Amino acid sequence: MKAQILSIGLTAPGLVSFETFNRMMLNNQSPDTSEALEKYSPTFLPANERRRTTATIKLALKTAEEALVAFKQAYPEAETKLPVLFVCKDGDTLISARMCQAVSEEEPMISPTQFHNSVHNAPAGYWMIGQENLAPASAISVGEYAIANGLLEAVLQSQNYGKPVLMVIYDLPLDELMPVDAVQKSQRPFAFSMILDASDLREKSDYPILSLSVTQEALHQPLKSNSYTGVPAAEAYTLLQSIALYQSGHEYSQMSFPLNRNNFIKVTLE
Amino acid sequence: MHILASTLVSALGSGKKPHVDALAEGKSGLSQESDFHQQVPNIQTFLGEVNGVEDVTLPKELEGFLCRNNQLAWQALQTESFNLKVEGFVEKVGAHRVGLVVGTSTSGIAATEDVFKNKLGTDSYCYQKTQQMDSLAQFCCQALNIEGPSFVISTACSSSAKVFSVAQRWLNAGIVDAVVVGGVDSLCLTTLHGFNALGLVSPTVCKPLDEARDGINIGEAGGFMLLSNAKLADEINPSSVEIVGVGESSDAYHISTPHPEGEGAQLAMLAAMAQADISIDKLDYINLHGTATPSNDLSEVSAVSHLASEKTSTWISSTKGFTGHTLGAAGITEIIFCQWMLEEQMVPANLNLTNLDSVLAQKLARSNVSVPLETIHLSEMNQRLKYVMSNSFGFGGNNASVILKMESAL
Repeated sequence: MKAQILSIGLTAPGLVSFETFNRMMLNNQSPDTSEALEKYSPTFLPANERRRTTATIKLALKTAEEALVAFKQAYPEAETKLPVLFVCKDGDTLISARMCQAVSEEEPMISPTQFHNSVHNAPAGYWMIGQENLAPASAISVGEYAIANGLLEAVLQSQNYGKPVLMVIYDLPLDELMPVDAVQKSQRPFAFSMILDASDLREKSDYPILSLSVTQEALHQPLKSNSYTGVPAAEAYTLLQSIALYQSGHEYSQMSFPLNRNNFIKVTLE
Repeated sequence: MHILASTLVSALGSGKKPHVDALAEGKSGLSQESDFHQQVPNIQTFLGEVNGVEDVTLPKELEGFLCRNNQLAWQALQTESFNLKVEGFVEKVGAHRVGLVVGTSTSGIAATEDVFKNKLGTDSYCYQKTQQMDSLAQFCCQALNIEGPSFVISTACSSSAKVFSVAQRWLNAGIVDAVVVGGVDSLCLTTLHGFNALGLVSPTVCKPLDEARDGINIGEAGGFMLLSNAKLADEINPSSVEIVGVGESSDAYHISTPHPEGEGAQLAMLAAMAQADISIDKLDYINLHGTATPSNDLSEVSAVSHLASEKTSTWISSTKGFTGHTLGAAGITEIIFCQWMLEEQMVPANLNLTNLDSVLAQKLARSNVSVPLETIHLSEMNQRLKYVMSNSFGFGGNNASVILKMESAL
């Protein structure tokens, strides 16, 4: 299974875009992970909807928008109302924790906005409204196996629909209110997006082709420093780093990501 | 895709027989006095509760997953020997050659609710195996010894209809030999209070398509199917019903209100029909999403009427009056209903319909689309069901339609 990467988006503390990350990698710099996420407002949404977006929704939308804007610049003639796939482990735990708290009260009050924002596909819903896009939109959760299953699903969707697909993998730490240990609340958010095209590999792109195969053996991973451990989306750091280095002709790149406990997806950049 | 096995648990009971019996007799599973009502003294409504879910015990190695949603999943997996059939298949082709994709809207959030209500201690609470959105997929994969690709789709009320397109992709790509699809959603406080806050919960029994319809009744259900492109499992007696079309779309209209003309819904239905290579005139029955909110039913019937021609002669009905709205499990529940209706050759009544809304009636008048008030048994008539379609639409403007076909004349 092969797909051409057509554009990339990236958001994490100390990283405002994939372009910034790219430059850092080429200059052998590391992002400052202690920085806060850059402020963002989804200006493509009508004011009413924009006001209702939460931090979780904004992280997904910002990262999706970066890839789409880059795609439109690179391919001004291309159709832009693409099918989308949003991958996230937890969804909006600030909302779910607040709702769980609310229903433990004597007279439970949940705000309607909070409730409709609580669905796992809320970012997908806002995205489609903002883009006036009637294409299929999916929202999935794969726990720690996000990268392998996300890439596989996006590539197969693109084959299936015969057009590029926008994939966004985003994760945030669990909210303070959640009754879980401090470790899961202190992780750093991480989100990246890719527009992948399995329907036309000949298209000229600044980025390599991703080749995927299912395997039962993990590849030996070359040691690369990942400053963003914790959330599943951050596992893509090595892939993003390889793409940046590949572009400057540095490296032959192959890596594997776990599909589940005993199987893997081998990813080769071509 | 061939259906090698299926199972369903809802307020109507466990397995095929109680469901077919209830559908045949027009007997609802909704109740005004279920156990769950005691937890919501301030909300008056009917609920589609599955009795005794809280008493289901999980095997020792899966105990960490204990929550209402996984208990309901476990009960469904044990029904109709579904787990044994899957295990047999897994043994034959290998664990990594079977995939699993399931839908849910709220996963095991009831466990977190219990922690906030001090009914569950934080030391016995495991977020990852209960509320975390992929808990259901983790749980089912471990329960069935599946090691192929797997994830949870959570697109509100279309979740467990969209799983069919994923199964199709995996099978067509040849990365698996079979896929378990399904969905489970269980009663919880956040959902009931949330829908109530939106003014979408009916204080009485839900009345899809009726002029007096005033909202949904929330239900719970768990259902699964084992699908394959090849009909290679003779020994497990596959159904003669196939999945022949899946279509998906978005509304791009509003987060919680459907487009009044059902623009997105039309696209999903058209995509499913295109894949099945049929026009709407070939459809014998459409199982509507039919939630019984004023806006959903208007939107959906508008969509059907836009697609229908003068020649279109099909039955449409909502089965929400039997089970309530099982949300993330609505897709799989109603798709399994469609399988069983084809097998039993019957068209289920649109329960609780007294007066068809005149606006809806007007929309349907230009074609020959009819809503059965009582269940129709085709064995007593000179007519057969061949193609049926199930619609599932969710918050976020997320739509999916699935078409099933009875393979050959009996």
